[in-house]
Amino acid sequence: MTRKKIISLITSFFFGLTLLLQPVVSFAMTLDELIAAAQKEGEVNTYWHSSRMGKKVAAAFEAKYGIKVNATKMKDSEMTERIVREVTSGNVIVDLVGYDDGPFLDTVLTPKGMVENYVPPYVAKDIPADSSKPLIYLWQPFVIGYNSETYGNSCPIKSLWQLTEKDWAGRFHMWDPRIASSMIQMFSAMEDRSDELAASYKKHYGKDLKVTEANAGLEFVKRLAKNNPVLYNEDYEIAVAVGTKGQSKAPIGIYSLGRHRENAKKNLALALCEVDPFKGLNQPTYMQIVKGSPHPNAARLLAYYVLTQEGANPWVGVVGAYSSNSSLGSSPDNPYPTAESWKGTLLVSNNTNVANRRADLMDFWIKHSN
Amino acid sequence: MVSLNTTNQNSLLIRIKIKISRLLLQPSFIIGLILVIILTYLVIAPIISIFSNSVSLTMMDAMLSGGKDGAFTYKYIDRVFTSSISEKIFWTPLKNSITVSFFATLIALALGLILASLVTSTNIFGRRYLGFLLIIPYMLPSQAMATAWLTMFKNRKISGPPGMLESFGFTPPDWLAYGPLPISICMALSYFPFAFLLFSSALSKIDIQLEEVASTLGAKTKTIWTKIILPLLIPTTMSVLLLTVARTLGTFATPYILGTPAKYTLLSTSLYSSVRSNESGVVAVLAIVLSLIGVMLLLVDIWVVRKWQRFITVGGKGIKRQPSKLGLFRTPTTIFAWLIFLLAALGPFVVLALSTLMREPGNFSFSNFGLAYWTGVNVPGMDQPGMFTSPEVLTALKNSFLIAGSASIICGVLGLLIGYAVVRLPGTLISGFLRQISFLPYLMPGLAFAAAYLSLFAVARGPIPALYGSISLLILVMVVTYLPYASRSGISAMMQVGPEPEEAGMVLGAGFWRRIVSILAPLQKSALVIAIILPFITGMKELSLVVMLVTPGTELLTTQSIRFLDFGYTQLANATILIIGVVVMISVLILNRVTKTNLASGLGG
Repeated sequence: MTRKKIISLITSFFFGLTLLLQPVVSFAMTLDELIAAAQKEGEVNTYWHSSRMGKKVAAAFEAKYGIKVNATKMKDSEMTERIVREVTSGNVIVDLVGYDDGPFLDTVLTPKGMVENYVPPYVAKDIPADSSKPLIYLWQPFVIGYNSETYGNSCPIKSLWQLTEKDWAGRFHMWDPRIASSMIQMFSAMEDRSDELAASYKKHYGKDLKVTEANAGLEFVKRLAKNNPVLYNEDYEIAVAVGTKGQSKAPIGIYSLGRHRENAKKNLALALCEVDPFKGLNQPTYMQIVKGSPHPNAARLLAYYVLTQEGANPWVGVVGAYSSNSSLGSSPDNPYPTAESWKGTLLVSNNTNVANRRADLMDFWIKHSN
Repeated sequence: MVSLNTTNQNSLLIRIKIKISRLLLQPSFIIGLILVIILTYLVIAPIISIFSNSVSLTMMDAMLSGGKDGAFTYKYIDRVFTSSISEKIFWTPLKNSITVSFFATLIALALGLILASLVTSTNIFGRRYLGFLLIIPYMLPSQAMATAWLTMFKNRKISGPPGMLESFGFTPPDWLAYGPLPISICMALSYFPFAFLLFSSALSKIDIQLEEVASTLGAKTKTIWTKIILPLLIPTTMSVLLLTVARTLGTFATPYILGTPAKYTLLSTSLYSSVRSNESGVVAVLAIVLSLIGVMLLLVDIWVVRKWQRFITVGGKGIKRQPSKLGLFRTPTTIFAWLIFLLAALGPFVVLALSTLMREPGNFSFSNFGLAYWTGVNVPGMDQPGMFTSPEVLTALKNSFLIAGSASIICGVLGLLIGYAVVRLPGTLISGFLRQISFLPYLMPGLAFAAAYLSLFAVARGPIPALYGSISLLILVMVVTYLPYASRSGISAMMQVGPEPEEAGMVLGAGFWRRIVSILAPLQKSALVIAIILPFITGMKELSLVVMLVTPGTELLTTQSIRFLDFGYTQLANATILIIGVVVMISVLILNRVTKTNLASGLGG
């Protein structure tokens, strides 16, 4: 009797333990097990920040594993809307997202458990700690660029402040901050590094900046907004506007450095502006599995795949992006070999600061743009 | 005493029972009742949700600010009307919308009137063809005209590749390339076919004897026009005016394409920006404003029609107006009419087609032309199959047909059923309610309606499962949005069929379905075709309504063209627009063939 009791206690203890360990066990799947489980699911849906998921990775992934990737390119505002809607309705369609809105991820999606942070154990050792919680899969510099056919080898501006001069009114092309969170992230990072902006003003104009707003970062944002920049929904359009050959007064723009890969193919003349104090923004792109995803194993396998050389190549094999997997190389066409080697010349936003300031920054921008 | 009371009660109960069972025997009542329930849910629920969204804290804001999801707030009303950014998101766009609508309507009205007069009452060359050719602009999706304009007039003040004119050495000034002028012109060219159709049908209804009497009394053609015909056209003019204003206010693609580079924002584009930046509270407030403007226009229309009713003449039939001889003016007026056709219909087609045939934009040398973007062979700078080989285009084409097709069939049948219930239950609550409610979606901007549907049907509610991500949601939202067209044509068609044929059938023992199939359906064949094809055409061209609802796998041709633009494949986007235009045009030809009428009867004044 007592023996029976003990046995049943022990069994139930182990049974409970296995139940408890279930998720851990599934995390510890070997790669082969994961592949088999993923293949059973057959397909995977992604919302991605970049069209290369659909154009390149999907085909290679399907050829390798026989799993179909349905990829939709999407701006982060739309992605946010869809993730929240799908998870709260319990009707989840997407499995894996490549998502630029770190602040929203950090302050809402992660704390509310709407996404699962999956760092593939097979590459985990090569991912730096500060890129794994939440998982960053790619660093993409957004750079200030100019037209090298019009202006030759040096950028027509030396300091960012020149973009607020009359000469460049209506001639700076950028993303619409209402649609792409990257711009708000940039504004917030500018607030964080106001002093450098003020110093750059002094260095360029030889006098102190008259700050009428809370800080030099805001002052810059205001003057930029008032100087009639041209706004776009698409990175590609900015690159074409700036880089098309045969322009006598080509504009300056901010777009992803990856556009430089299309210089030859699309007959553009894009070049990096070595401008003071910042050459642009280093945009981390996060990779997360959406809670309740219908194909979780295929999503994990795809997440692993884009962190391998083969899967990352569509981005890191050409100019303009760095994988967070430190063991992967980057294209020799990049101005700098690694994300770190840009040093401080690229702005990196602080997710908490952006989250706190984004509504105000957005309204500030709308109020001052004409 | 007591027993008497019970009998009374009993007889009352029995009478009610008899009444109910009689009503239940009457199919029109059952149909009416079912329709009332369905439409209340599909039409009223989204409208209520828009109103409640305008004063409740959105989920996003609740998450960001830590408030309670759905809590009451004036925040969004305040943001739209009085905040520091209200000028940017509401007042300036309102002013711009009014300006653009005014000029677009004015041009559309003038073009429609002049062309309708020329085509119906004069001997200009080719008038038989012009009657059809001049409505082609209506068949093109609204982004076609704007895209074609930009391809043509784009200048490099804003930079990028040159427009077609610029590559010929003429640089169009900014005001010609972007902003209010091109928006007004493009909208006018897109919407003048309404005016043209309505004026044509009004002109052909005017009693020819009035003119004959006048001319017998010695009145000159000019006097006949200014004293007789034009005054008789006043009610039509008002209808055209209101219809066009309502259209221009709701159009999104044109101001989006031509206004954005110049930061010229209209209410519709401001609404879209708010949608894109997930501000659903602001979206709701703006949507309500747009709908209120719609309601106001409708009330004015009703008032005008009532006031001018006495001027509508019912004349002898059969006598067609002899086309008046234009003499010296024949050639110039012909040139004018054909020029408008060239500009509004052929122009966009040719420009878009050219852009898909040129390997490099702006290079007009012969070697630069080819079918690369269609066949996908040797495409410059594009790792993408061509139109003929692209699986995406195929899927989108299939989806467009499936979604617009099923929506329009459901819509057409619903329209006739509504017509049946409305006409067969005259004077009842059901009749009045159905008539009004089926028209309501006409007043809601498509974007707002879509937003409401998204929030309503993303989750399972009662018997209806979560529809987000399914094509049923797209079909549903189209059915409801196009119901006004279908129910209008259904009601007016049913009006023309008295109850007698059906009663005769009943006497002969025909059941309800038999009566529908053998009596009503054949009589209503052409009405049904119109009630199906009109929503189909609109559905094939639809963008704003569906752009938020599509998910991977449910892309339509219109949204696929936007995806192509997103990827920078302008040529593929233009080719997709062309395909839509061709499909729609074929549908209209079928409509003409089957019903031997033109679109005017469906658009109804």
